[in-house]
Amino acid sequence: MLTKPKLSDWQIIGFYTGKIIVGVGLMMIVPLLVGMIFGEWSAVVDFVIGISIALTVGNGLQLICHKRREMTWMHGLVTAAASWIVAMVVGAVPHYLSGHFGSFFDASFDLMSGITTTGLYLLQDLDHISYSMNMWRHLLTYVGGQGIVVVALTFLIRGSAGAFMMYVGEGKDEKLLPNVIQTARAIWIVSLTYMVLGTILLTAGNLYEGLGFTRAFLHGLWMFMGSWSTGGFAPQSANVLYYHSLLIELLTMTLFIVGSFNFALHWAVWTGNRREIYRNIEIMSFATTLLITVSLGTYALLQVDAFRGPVALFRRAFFQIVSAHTGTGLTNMYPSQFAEEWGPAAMLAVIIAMALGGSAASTAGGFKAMRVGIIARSFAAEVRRLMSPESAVLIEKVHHVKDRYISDQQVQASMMIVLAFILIYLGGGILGTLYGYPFISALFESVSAGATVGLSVGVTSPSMPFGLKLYFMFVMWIGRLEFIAVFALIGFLIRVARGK
Amino acid sequence: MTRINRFLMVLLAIVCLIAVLGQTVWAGEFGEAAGLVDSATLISKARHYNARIVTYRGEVVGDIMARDAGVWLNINDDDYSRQGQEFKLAGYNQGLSVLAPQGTEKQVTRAGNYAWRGDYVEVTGVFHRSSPKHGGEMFIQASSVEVIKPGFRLVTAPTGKRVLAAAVLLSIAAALLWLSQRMLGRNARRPPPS
Repeated sequence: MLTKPKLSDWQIIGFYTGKIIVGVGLMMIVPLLVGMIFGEWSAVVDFVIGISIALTVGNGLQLICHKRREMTWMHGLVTAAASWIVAMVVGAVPHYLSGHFGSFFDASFDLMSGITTTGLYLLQDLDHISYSMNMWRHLLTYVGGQGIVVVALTFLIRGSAGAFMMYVGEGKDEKLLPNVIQTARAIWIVSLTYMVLGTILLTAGNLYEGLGFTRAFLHGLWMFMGSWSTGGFAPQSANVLYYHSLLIELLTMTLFIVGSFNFALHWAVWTGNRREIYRNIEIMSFATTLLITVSLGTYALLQVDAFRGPVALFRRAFFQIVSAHTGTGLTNMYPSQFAEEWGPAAMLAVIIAMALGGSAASTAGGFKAMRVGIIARSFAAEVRRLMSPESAVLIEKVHHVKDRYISDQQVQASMMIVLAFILIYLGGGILGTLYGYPFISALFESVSAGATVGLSVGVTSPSMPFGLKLYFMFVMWIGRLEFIAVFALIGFLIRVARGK
Repeated sequence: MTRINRFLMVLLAIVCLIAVLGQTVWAGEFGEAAGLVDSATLISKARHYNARIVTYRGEVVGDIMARDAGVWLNINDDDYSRQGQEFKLAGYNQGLSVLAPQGTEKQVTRAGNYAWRGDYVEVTGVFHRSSPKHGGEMFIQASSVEVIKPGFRLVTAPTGKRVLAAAVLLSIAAALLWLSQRMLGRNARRPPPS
């Protein structure tokens, strides 16, 4: 029998959600300061309103819901899922007030896209938005890449027994260090170090390519955030194409490949285990599937005569497919070129690359290289088992930081998640087709949203039907949190509606 | 074969594949002049306009990037490029890249951003669908760039009503912050319930 949640359940979820919303409000101080530095007073006022609403909601929730009780798994998962929704609504306030959105719903779409590191957007006239708004967009995607719960764990929540539950609810299950708070801080140490290094390199690249110092620095910082977090946002509507630069393409590509690696791998390398790069199952799996998708894409592009010459193929085809495979979504082409120039076969290669995604416990989405690796190994083991004598005992293992044996339970769990991803991809493809888009374009966009990639063939636009916008927002959220936390939230809501 | 060698082999295979498959270099002949064309048409009918002389108009946005090969401009021909002080939402930005002759940066001085509408220019040049020389980029290699309308400053001041709303909301947030610090701090000092 279903039981209705108790008042204390609501209080625990509300209290920690409140803390995370306060965190979102405090994050807005960064764009506020940028606005003040550059004299963007209209945007400054918008951020003051945004901060005020976030602090009011966050502190209000903490006041109303304060209850000293231990968190259970259900509380942690529901808090993780719910806080992303509340963060989306509260964080969208400055977006909407900027006047660059057709509705508050559209602004919320961009927020969800930002914090899930997707990169699809409905913002209009991107080329004339303020520095502070650009800072907010990119900061959201940078923080979203690490996880907003990770931020709260690092700065606002100390020593809570429920911390690990929220951390898992956000789609991460790697503990780099014995304590989850220390793990959250380790993730930040890695990310901030890369931020300093990446921003310096991209700033230098921008200066070399003819940008003035201030814009070179800001673009360097934002392009770092969009690349490392595999977010795909860029400060100009032309995205990476804006720079017309092989140097910037190489730098961003390096950053988004590295950004798509598992934080556990980063931590292993960080602590001196450099051989892990060559031995890790996720790197092997990623390199193999990248080779397959690049081969397929390159062959298809040559068939339609889209690009000629190795440099052109590298800069356009290889860049797009790596961007797709790492779940980034940065592009150096016009969106309509996919449909007009690439053709269905090359688009299919990009769709497969997007669907596969990057590493687990990283900023990337999709199936994840770990699951692909485990499923591939278990297939190979099945074939070997069929060819071996009946009495033979075969044990499969993978290397991820240490050697791990693959259990049937792990294979089953991996297949379940992959199946769930396939269903949300197909769901969007079918829905888009029902709205009148060609199936291949609808599928492309659906996979892009569900795998939190952000590449677009032009389906996503402010004039896109409401139902499709809502579906894409839902799959960005569920894809980023990898289903479990969202299922827990849905279960909680069912208990609210039908419990006794 | 060690794991390192296997990993390097995969990387090498990717590089070789791209190099081998993309050996043929593409050379386009310059065709007849096509007149004034917008960016949406050029992108959607790129094969038709490839290597033809086109005329294109729009607002210079972002940065004016002077390099050895020329000056890279990003020129939008969307509805915003023709708007005055009054801002009206009109969808995404739409534009095309232009590689202008050296020295253009002295003529085109204002690029559009938050505070400025950029110079509105007319460009004449050869449209490239996918130039092998420029890494497969689609752009116009301009022979001339003429400023039709100079850029101008945009009014971006906040309204009085919004400033007032911000002040009221900030006061409420500050009061609630003070209250929550007081109450939560007091509760934290109490022993937990048994």
